[in-house]
Order: sequence, then C-alpha cells, then structure tokens
Amino acid sequence: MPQVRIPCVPDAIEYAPKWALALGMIEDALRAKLPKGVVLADADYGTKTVFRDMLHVLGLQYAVGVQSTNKLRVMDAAGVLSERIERHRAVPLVGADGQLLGAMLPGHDEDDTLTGQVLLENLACKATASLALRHLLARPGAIAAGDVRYVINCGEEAVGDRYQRGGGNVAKAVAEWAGCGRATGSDVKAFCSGPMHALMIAGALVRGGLHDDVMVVAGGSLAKLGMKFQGHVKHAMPIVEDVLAGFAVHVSRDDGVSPILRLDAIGRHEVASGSAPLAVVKALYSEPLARVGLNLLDVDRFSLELHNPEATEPAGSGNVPLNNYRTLASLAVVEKLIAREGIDDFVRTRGMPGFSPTQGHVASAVPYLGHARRGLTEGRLTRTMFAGKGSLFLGRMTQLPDGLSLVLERNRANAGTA
Amino acid sequence: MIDLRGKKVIALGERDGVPGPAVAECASRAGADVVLTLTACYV
Repeated sequence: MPQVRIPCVPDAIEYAPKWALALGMIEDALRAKLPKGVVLADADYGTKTVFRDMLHVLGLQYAVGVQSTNKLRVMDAAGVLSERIERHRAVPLVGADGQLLGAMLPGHDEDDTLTGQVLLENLACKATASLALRHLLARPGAIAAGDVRYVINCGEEAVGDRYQRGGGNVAKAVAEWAGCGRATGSDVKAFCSGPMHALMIAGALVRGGLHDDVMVVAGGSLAKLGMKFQGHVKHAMPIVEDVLAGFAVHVSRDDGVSPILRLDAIGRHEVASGSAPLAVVKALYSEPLARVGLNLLDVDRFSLELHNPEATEPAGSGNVPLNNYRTLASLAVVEKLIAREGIDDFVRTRGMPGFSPTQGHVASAVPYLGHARRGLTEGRLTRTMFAGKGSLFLGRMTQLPDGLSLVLERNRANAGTA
Repeated sequence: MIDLRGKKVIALGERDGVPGPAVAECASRAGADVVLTLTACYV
C-alpha cells in the first residue's frame, strides 16, 4: 500500500516530554492540597536535571532512577545556577553588585518563543499587572476580588508558544494571581493605544449590561528598562529607565460620583484617516468632540504621551509630550479657536509635563487617569481627554499608526460639588 | 531646494513628528521614486 502524505501536516510535531507532563500533574496535585509523598520515577525521568531540580524547588523528596553513565556532582546554589546557565541556556539574573541571584530557565528546548528571556519578560509583565490589580483591590471600598467577573489586559507582551506566538490571555493569569476566582478575561493588543481600546471595550461591556465591573490592567515592559541607556551614559547621568510600571482601572456602572466615560465621543484613527500629523490629531480630538457639540477649548486637560523628557532628551528623542501638545495646539490654531501666539498658553494650561517612565503603553495617556479622577470628583475639572497612539508599523504588517481617544467627564450627579 | 524628480528616495519618518508615509507622499508628489518607507518610534 503506498504511503499517503497529507501536505498540510508537518512531518514531525514535538509534544511535551513525559517528564514535563508528570511535573504538571505533580504541580496540579500540590495545588489541590494532596498530601506530599515521595516522588518515585524511573530513569527516563530521573536523568532530566530540570525534573529533579523542580521537585527540589517544589519541596518534594524523590527517589528516581538514573543511568549508569550519569555523573553525580554535589553543587551549592551557585553551582546549580551556573549549570542552568551554561548547560540549559537559562538567563542569568544579576544584582546591582554583580552577584548572581537567579536564572530563568527556558520553557522548551527548541521553542524560540519560550526562551528564558521571553519568559522573563512575560513574567515581569504578569507580575506587575497583578501587583497593580492587587493594590487596587486592597483600596478602601474596593470591589471584592471574588466579585470581579472580567479582566482585560492591555500589556505589551505576546504570550504564547511557537505555534501561537500571541496566544494571549495574560488577563486570566493576572486574575488568578489577584485572587479573582470568578473572573475570566482576554487581552487587547494595539501597541501603545491598547489601553485606550481596552478602556473603551470595558466601558462598552458595562454599558451593554454584560458585566457590572470590568478591570483593565497592564504590566510593565522589561525590554524597555535601560532602553535609552546610551544617551544617559553619554551625558554622565544615571540610567533613569530603571522601573517597571503597571496599572489597574476599575470600570463600573454609574455610581453617581465617579467620572463618566463618554462612549459617544470616542476618537478613532481609522484606516483612511492618513498619517499626516494634523490628520491624526483631528481624528483623535476635534472630530469626536464636534460629534457631541464640543471643541478643544471645552476640555480642561488633555492627557497624551506622558514620557518623562528626562529619559528621552539625553537620548536625542526630544520632549515627546511637549511635541504632541504643540501639534494639538496647532490644530486649535487651524480651527481658529486660538491665535498662533496662544500656542504656549494652550500647552501650559491644557497639557502637562511628561512624568511617566518610558514604559510604552503605560506612558500613553493612562498615568493621568488617577489624577483626572480626583480632579473630576473632588477638584475643579469638568472634562478631560485621553489619547493613545500605537506604532503598528513597528510590526511590519502595515505602514499605519493607530490611535484612540476617550473623554472623561464629571458625573452630572456630582456637578454641584467642588 | 532639492530637485527630487527621478531620484530614488528612502522615506524615514517618526511617529511623534512626521511619519514615513507623509514623507513618502511629499517626495512622491515632488517626482521622486520612493523605494522604502519606514517610521520609527522613539518611545
């Protein structure tokens, strides 16, 4: 009988090895609080150093077979780390004093999307997003973790394996770590405009009645730590990009106090909007405002790119917030709302200095959200506008940028206060 | 003033300034043959 080949099926597909499957089952058993016994396994498992190391990490005793050719070495912690780095391609984690503190093992021998470096970046993103959500849930009056039903993650990392590099749903992993046992979720990806899309979708889910409470979260970008270090070193200054950022936002039904997210005034950079600077700001600012009978001067404060210029200017990237505010002010001139001489005043009174770490999507408008909430509830603000821009072209699938803007207003029930 | 007619042009733009496609459009209308368009993001 002739051999039949189906052309769309590859010749060999590598599945998880038996030791990895066993390890997963052992971890499941520990999570289920089963009593810890001694792990027994034959040499097929016992010869795998990673398997034995993980049993040790899990606090389990074990008796496993080995082959007669196996060499046994007694190593201290530093020796274990060194071996993982040298033999298993683990990424070394080195402290500021140069001391080796740990190592991040790859998740697979051959999968480039599961290298130690990739996993470390994904873990940093998950950890910082989880921390932000846990902080939010710990605030006085916050929703109980168990009542959260949906989480949207808009962090930048694409979590997956080589067959689905952007597989996603870090949101659910974050919800798990934050104790949101009844939540599910999904990821929203749109480069640095991701947070705006996520907030819009969260608002729509609440407005549509599907969920009463939606959490929008994002973790930090490990890859952006020291991103512009050459400029800092060149100017004999500290490498200031030394912090991972994260945020969590609770979008809920109208409580009569919190600011209102205007879903009728969403600014959209569309496929046909073009990439000329004025065309972009028109799509993001004046068009959505005009749709609800407003103009640029009806907005007390705009939140755009908020990257701290102390990090960007020494590297030759300029003052990003200031450049964007001046472009927006130019739109106000074109629309005859202010005179050309009023550009500086517009920037000063309706903008703000960049104060965010250069953590990409996190720096994109969101850092002002908490301040806006306070100003719109306890302060004198009436209306704020947030706009994020996404550099879609960096992925080489299009030349298009992206952008989305949102308007946040004082709650009408709260209009008489402050 | 540079005469771009018949010239090969690589259009390099910047997201928070003038993006690549806008540079390419200007060069193209000035008679250039735009062979590559790229936009950088510095943040």
